[in-house]
Amino acid sequence: MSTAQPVAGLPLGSDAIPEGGEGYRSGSMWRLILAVFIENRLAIVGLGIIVFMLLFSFIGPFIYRTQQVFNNPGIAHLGPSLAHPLGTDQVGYDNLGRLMLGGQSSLEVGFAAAIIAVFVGVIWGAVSGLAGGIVDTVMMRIVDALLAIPFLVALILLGAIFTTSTLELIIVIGLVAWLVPARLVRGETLSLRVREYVQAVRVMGGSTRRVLFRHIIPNTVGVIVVNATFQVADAIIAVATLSYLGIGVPPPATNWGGELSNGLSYVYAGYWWLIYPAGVAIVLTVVAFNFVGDALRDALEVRLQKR
Amino acid sequence: MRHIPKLSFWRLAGVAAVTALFVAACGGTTTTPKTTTGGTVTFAEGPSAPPSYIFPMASGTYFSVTNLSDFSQLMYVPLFWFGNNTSDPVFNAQLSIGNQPVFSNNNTEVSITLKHWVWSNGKPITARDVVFWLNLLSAATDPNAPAVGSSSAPGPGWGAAVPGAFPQNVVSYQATGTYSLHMTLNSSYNPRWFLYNELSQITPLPQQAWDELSASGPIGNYDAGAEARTTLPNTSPAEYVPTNPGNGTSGALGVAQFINSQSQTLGTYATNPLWQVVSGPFVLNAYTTAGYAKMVPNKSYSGSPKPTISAFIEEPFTSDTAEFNALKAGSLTIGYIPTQDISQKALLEKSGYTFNPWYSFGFTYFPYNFTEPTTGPIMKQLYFRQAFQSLVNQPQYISDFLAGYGVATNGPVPTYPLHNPDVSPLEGGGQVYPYSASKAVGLLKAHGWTVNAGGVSTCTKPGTASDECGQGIANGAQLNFRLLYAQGSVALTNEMTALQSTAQQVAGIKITLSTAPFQQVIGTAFNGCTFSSPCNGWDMANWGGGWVYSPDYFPTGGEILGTGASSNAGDYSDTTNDANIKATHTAANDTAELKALFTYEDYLAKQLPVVYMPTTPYQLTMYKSNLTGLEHQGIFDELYPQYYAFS
Repeated sequence: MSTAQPVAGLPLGSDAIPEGGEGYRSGSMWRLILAVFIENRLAIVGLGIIVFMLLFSFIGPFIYRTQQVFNNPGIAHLGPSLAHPLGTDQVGYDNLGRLMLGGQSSLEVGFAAAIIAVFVGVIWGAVSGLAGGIVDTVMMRIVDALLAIPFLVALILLGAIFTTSTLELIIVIGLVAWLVPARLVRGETLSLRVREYVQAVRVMGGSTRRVLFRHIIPNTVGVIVVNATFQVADAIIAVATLSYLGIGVPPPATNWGGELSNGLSYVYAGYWWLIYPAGVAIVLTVVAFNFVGDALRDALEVRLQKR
Repeated sequence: MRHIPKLSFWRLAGVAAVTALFVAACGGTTTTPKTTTGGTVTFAEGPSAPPSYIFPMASGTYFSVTNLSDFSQLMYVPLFWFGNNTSDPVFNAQLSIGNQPVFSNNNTEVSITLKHWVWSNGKPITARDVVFWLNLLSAATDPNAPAVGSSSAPGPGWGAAVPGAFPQNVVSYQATGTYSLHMTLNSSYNPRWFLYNELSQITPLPQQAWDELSASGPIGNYDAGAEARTTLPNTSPAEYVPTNPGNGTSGALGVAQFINSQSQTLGTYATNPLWQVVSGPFVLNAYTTAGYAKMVPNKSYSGSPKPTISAFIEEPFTSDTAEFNALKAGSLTIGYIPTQDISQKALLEKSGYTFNPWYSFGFTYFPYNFTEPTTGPIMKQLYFRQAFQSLVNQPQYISDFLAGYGVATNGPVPTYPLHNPDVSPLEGGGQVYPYSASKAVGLLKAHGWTVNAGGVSTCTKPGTASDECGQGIANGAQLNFRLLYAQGSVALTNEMTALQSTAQQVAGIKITLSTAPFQQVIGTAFNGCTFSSPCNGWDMANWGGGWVYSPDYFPTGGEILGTGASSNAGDYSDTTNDANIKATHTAANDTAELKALFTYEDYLAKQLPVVYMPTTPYQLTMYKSNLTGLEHQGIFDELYPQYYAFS
């Protein structure tokens, strides 16, 4: 797939201008995608926020060191100060440090659950679409049946069954979230399987596995990548929701949803520093992933690329 | 029975006393507000603790204030009512179906007469209905009866059952007339104890409507076979059980199992004809499996006063935060203010609510699971329990998490009402095991543990000598425990989080916390764990409350701390304690009784059979100021909506 693609907005060298024709620049598909992606300023902002959140959550604790294992109720509910820039929580944890720890958990769950969801969904959808017939019907009816269960209800049910830890949250959310990528990939596969190059592979005796892993799945990568970014955002919201409902990780572990839930218990006490930071972190991160997802969709969708 | 506090006595009592003195000094005349008939009272249930069992004979799994005092008893009145809508933990003849029982023959016989009350279907409440309860109770608590039920759907049982106690200490019982019955006891018992802790367990049931083995079967006398009694072998004094208790499908046990299974079918509560025959002031009108319950007055209620409100609604909440939002919105007539929102008290009072903490005759604790194969041997060691209790910083919990509404717990006898004469000087004094990190560490080190503060301590000196870890503890054993606690209460979460942190940071005692709804926690803790049938799914379980002394209204503790008692979660067993409890049952006079009680409570204050936690009010009640009848709240956590009226 290293064919020449039309590129817009790039300066065209005089020696590259075909007489009487449109301007073209030869280059890899990924360069073109990147070019379109970086044109989207919101995407750059989103990417910046994601990088910041990753650094804040994973590097931050090495710079801003706080005690996040053992609490100290004697300094509970202190307001923001130099010693505690975001105050302390209900059992005396430094809230800024808590936010970093919560970010680790939220982002880990977000990324890992998205990977599980995409991995399972892609395999399921591609196999279903490629196999067709009764196999496709059965596999897709299973997806339909599971999709009919409200996302939150399924999450709460699974969350109640499993003992909650970060790993189990990842599995629970991943198990619920693979349905949408499965349907998307299955749709793409239905389109791809009748293409000439797929037919050619079959004529030349290529195995189904080869068709699946060398030709179908690689050509759905655009759909997969875009969906994966949204899956991360959805997973972060899901873990926040579960934690908000009390099915999150038990202390001393935490995540942003749990922090928000704890903070809202004190909404009438005026401890705003327990509410806004966690809420803002969730909103910013989710919006950032959505910006990136939107931009990737634009970049990967040929019809939306400028020519 | 177990309660979950929705939240110092001393401070409030002082305010109350000063207020009372002021009123008295002014000599003013009091005016009774004019009340109206009708209106709906909406009552907030505890966080994540909706009623889930309606049959008054509740097994350990369902034996809670939520299910009994605040739900079932509104429909099924005990034979002897305790509590009088004031703060006195006493027998209340007015609200009882039975008259004061008469003891005779050196307190070995009891004669009981009933008032002439009627069921809601118009039929009289008779001695047969009392015998019906006794038959079902005898069968359900008979250790020789066939096993019924499963772990997910427990069979019939009784959460107040104690081996050798009621009804096994009854030689015989029989109706001697329509409204009278007679019991012969197997020994001479202290009348106060026998009334307050044994006869108090009886709730007349509508035999004419409930004596059946299936919903479609005819009403009969299936329970009657359990009335004949036989002795249990090797018991002294002889203990008695039914000669023929029946089984899961026949006899008294079959009837009990049928009613129990109906009670486990929550979705049919409002439509099942069983529950429409009631003796209490209210009858169920609507119920959802989420815990919403609407009760309307029983027009045939024979007691006094009779309800004047048109409906009493119990509203479920998943958390105290959700409840407080409803309270702020004004949608609750009776709610509670979570301790973390205590700053809103004045605002709520301005918006038409009255603040009135609801104190209980109980104490707060959570149990160790002594039957756990791995950690049980560690928790059986007194030095470990002393070390662990020394890590519970009760004063800090009270000041930081409970907004000052609590008192440190030293032992099993309630410190409320104030100056309770049953509280010994030791228990009523300063903390027997106050918070002391150094003492906790010292105790562990002195008994063969290598303390790894911040990590996990290990036993490095196994054995049974005084400086070794103790029996059943292997070399390398770790202080690693699982603590299950009830979700929904911020104060409880904070307490558990603080304890977890302190225990590991100071003494290397690792606690893994997990949460579950209230009913699930008590279902886990009271799942019949015994040494012959141990439970290994939990090490400690905290349902967020402790025990309110009901129906064991005299706090001698047999129901919760006696060996083999149904509500002895974790199966604490100590022969000295058992003997101390027994001594409170048979004391010949008041002086001897008090002495026996002091001996019992002092021993347990030192032995720490459970983890003592700050005792708090059942809840910090906020009720609409135009509601009358709630000036006093039941000290056994019971409700009196028949007294409610709007002014």
